[in-house]
Amino acid sequence: MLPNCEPEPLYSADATTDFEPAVESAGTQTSPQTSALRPRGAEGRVRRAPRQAALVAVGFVMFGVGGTTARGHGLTYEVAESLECTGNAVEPVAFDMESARWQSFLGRLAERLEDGVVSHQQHRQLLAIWHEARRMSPSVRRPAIFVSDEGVVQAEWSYLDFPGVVFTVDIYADGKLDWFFRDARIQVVDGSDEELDLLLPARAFELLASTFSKSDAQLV
Amino acid sequence: MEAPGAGTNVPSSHRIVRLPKRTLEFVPEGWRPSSKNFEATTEEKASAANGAVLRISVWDLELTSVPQARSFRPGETLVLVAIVEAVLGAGAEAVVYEAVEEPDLGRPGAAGHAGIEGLSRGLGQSRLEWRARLERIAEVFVLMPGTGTSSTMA
Repeated sequence: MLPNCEPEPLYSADATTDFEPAVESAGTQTSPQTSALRPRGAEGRVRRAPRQAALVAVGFVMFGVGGTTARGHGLTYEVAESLECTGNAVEPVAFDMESARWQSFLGRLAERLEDGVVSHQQHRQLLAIWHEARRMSPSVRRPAIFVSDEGVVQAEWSYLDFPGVVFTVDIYADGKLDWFFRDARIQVVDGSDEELDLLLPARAFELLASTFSKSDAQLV
Repeated sequence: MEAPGAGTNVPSSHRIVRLPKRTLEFVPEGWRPSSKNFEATTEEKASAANGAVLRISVWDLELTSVPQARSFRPGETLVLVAIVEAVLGAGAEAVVYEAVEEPDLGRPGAAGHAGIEGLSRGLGQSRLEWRARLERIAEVFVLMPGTGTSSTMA
């Protein structure tokens, strides 16, 4: 459990409605990570989906955000507070290298928090923004993440195959946000002006989700 | 090699590198540098504090190798590359040589230090307009392959 880690979402009251409170099944012992994610059947008993079981069996578990795959199994998934806080939520997804690297990054982000490189406010804001963007569009692309020399966490949606299109969010140590969007194709510029924001406005998420979602052809 | 005169233009055919000090935590496939890499650093703002033109520090690869340039900026940096002609075409006012300060003046590669002019926020220019201008310039830079700062590099 990370200190001062608050699992409630910043952006959407129903962002975690796919998750149910954890229910331990008697006599079951699992690793800390696998115990945090358990599918629940209609009878309310905790059980493991076949796909997840297979992944656990090979010692490699991937988690994503959304609900499509989980619902496809006729199950819902519950997320323990520790994984919710570190961002290692929620559902098994198709294996690819970027997913693996993203999960590795989320693990390192928790370490950065413990090391004091990233503040709790930055950690919470980044995960909340990512979760909300994925809630609005499960296929939204992953951003580049930097920590600047001044300690600002910076998320950038900026890709070679999207020339002229960019979305950036700077997250300062106190959690304040500076965002910017530009789409040169349609001559649109938006973002924070002189005042920093405490929350990303709804239109920012709409721009992010509508602009940077992968098409069906791009999905693995 | 003798350093070109300070303030003279870097030839338009030359490649330049920008070394932003940012720790790369994660880079997705197909990422390209954004304008965040072209905002003036505290040092660059300080250099321009006395009425001098604000210049964003770059290095001419004809005169300075990437390792030499990196030696002037200890710590992790990205390495972003562009051709001067493209930078000017994207809206920069000039790319000019700029002498490094003592005690770095005689170090290997010092001759290639330069600066991009025209990236500061103009009087009366909104913040969004300024960011959009920086974005146009950022778009002509690419991340030099194999020069990321993290094991997360693709």
